Amino acid sequence: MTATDLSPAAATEAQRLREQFGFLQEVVEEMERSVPYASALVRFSDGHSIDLRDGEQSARRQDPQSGVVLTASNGHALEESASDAIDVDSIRAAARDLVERVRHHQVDGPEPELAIHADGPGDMDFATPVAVDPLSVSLTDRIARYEAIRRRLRAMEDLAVQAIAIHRDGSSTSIFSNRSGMTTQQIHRVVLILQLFVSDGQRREVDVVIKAGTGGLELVDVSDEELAECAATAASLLTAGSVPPGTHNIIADPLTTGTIAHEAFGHGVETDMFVKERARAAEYVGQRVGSDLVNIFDDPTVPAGYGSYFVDDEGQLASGTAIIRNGVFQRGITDLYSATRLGIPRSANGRRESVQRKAYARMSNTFFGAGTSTLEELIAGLDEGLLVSRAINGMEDPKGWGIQIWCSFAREIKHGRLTGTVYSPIALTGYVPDLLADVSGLSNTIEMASGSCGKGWKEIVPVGSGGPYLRTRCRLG
Amino acid sequence: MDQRVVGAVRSHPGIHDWTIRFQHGRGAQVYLAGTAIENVRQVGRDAYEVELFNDHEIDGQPMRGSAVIPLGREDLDRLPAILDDGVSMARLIHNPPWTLPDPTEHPTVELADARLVDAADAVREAREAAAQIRDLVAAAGPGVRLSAAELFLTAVDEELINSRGLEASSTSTRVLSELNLLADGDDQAEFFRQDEVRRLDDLRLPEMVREAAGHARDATRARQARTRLGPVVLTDIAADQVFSASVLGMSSPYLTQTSAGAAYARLSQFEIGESVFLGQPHTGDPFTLRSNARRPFSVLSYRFDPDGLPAQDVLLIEDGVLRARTATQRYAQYLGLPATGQSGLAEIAPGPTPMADLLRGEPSVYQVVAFSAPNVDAVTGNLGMEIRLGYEIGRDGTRPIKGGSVTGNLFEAMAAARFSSETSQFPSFAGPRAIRFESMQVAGEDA
Repeated sequence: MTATDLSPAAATEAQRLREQFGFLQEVVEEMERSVPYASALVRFSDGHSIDLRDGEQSARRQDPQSGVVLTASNGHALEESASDAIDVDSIRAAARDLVERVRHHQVDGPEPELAIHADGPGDMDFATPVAVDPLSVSLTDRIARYEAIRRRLRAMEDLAVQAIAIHRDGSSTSIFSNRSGMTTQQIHRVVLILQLFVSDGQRREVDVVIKAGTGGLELVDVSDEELAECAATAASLLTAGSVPPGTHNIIADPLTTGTIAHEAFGHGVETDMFVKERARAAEYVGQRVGSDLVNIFDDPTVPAGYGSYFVDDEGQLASGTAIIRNGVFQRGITDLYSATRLGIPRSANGRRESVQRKAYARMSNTFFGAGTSTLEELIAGLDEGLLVSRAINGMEDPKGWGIQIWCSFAREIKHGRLTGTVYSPIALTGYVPDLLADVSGLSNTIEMASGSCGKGWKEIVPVGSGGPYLRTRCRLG
Repeated sequence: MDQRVVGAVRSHPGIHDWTIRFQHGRGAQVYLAGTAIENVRQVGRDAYEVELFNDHEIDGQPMRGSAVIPLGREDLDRLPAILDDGVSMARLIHNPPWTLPDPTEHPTVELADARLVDAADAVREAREAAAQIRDLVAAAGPGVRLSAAELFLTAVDEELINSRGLEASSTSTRVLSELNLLADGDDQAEFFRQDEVRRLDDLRLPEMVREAAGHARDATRARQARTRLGPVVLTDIAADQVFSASVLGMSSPYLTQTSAGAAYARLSQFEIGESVFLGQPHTGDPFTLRSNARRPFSVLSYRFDPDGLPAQDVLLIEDGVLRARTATQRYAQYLGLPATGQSGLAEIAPGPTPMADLLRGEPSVYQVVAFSAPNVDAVTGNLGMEIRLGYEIGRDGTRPIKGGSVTGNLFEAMAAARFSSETSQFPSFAGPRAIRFESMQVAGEDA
């Protein structure tokens, strides 16, 4: 997303935020009379969540998680104070306390110099463009709409035992202030998750349809064709067998492709891992890490991307990063601390789960670039293989360059055609350089998906991932 | 608890029943990048959660609507509007009626480390613990160094009141640690572990660092696991990962399957009085599982659950047969079961066999010390987890292994599981230190 002309409502809100939090500029200036660098981030959220299923319904307001985090450098490290009190007096008092804590900082270990050269976009306001504002559709109508969709999905399969519809809408507002100025941003996200559980009396399986992004309700329309495919897939999983373990030719669907990008060369190039010597990729800057067909990007400006934003949580204006071009590793994605320690240009990837947590180098929207083939051509090019679909989750191993992805199912390919045989579930593992070196084809369109990303097993942030259909080889179990 | 919240909820005509939960949290976080301090943070937060109920009728049938309304400090000045919005939501929700718990006694459960209850003390304790980690790693011997460490020390005071007069309070602490060590050898390798305990001393830092250093050194020599079908023994971190919530918070598999909530939602495959092995013949050790929410200093223990029900210790599975379910107030009433409160720590009875014997087998046994991440589907029981570090133990000796995935179905595999006589306590369960599955698929390097 780039700076857009704000809608009248967004412009009014931005003005209100400046009036309410304009004092943050003075707070930062006052802090920087005593410390080499200071910043302030205020954040709060609003929205609703609805869960509809057989036998019960629930509704909740989203946790506002309102709060402020003040950051100060002591010349060697960062010190922060986070609180839910965002009134003028509380923030000024917290700033004074933090400066005192920094002043009384005592060296208790090795402390390399940390010379922060932070700039920023200056005084700017941003807001997600929204075509259909969730607030323009009453909660009554939305519940009715999604309950109708849920029932339609359930009715499509006789073996259904449960159908769940989860809808979330919300806005996340942040105000960031440092020596460069003050930015406000209003990010609107919507999610619709439809799950169909089926059972034959022995086994239970599930398939899912997910629609999500930054924007309005226009992003969560779902067609009857998509519902029918979900029902058919869920039923087919009841008779799915176990994939023969071993190395296979695969074609990854866009959701799985995106998860590969995310786990392999997303987490693997978060530069806080470079500082900690946890990323093998640090040794490969400028070197080949995949076939010529491989291009991987991280970009917080993807229109409607679930991981999109205008400014990261440390005041860096959003822009895309080419991580891999034509198989050659270009650069990683940074937060403020790691970019400063490593002496490299920042990217806009400093993100926090909330003000209660530190900023880390995190992905935004991470995806493979498109190729030139059609899906039919990719399938036709395999004498034996598997079309692997619906990645559910994954885990990174930046040091070992291993990869672990859990997918819902895979469809067998023989002699260039789908045979109808389905395997489920699928554990995809491999060594990243081998997997990327074996990329032999990519389809010519990109699809993006939404998800939640953890750093290890915590620090959850919304992200997007995706890409084309991708053909390669890897280990399946 | 701010009485403005209580007053506004009590006086709203659309709120017919309610529960208010309040948490006052504070703590410290310290982050090491290498041996250098990256960040030291002091944190604090007051959070309210109002669960409000609106009773109405649909087609002449009584219904209970509800909405959960989290509140921040800034919301206290506009409570009427927020509660109006909440009541509007609750009116749109139609569930079978159920009633909130009445006032009751709550047990004393040990949940807090007195050293961490004060925020200023927490900052000091965090810095000291970080310094201790640095020193322990420096003394761990050649070839091992500190890559990163994180320590979160948190204290929370909780209060709960409801419209039936129930009142409860507790103080708890939580210590979350991450440790990553690097080792130089045939290949540079790392060993990562995350721990969560109630008391700082429960981290057992010297032992933790010593074990992690040993694993990091072994990881430098680890070779790819081979594709095979055979005995797999899960120990330590790996055993805990099988019983824990999956990546990004999905529920723990056995505690989900034995819950009344899952039964009500028709997502449980277990039936009371029947085997939990999903049709597989039981050839392993007796499998007995309890949910214990009173276990001292377990991170899954509590004094009262979100409805205010007192913590209980419940026998769930006895020798492979489901005997009872954990049931929160609502699902207990829906299903006509005793209300036990939400689940606590899973406790699994040990077996008769020493761990050393479980690690023997021809031609070899795979011992998994840690997976890359927990990944067991709580509904189906399907599991697929990459081996981050393990050992192949056979007639030719012991060699470290890594990579490859262990796949299968946990509920079915448990029918042939054997449990060590030695026990330990982990964040997700307490029980045998080693669990042997006789026949698990490993997808690794092709033979």
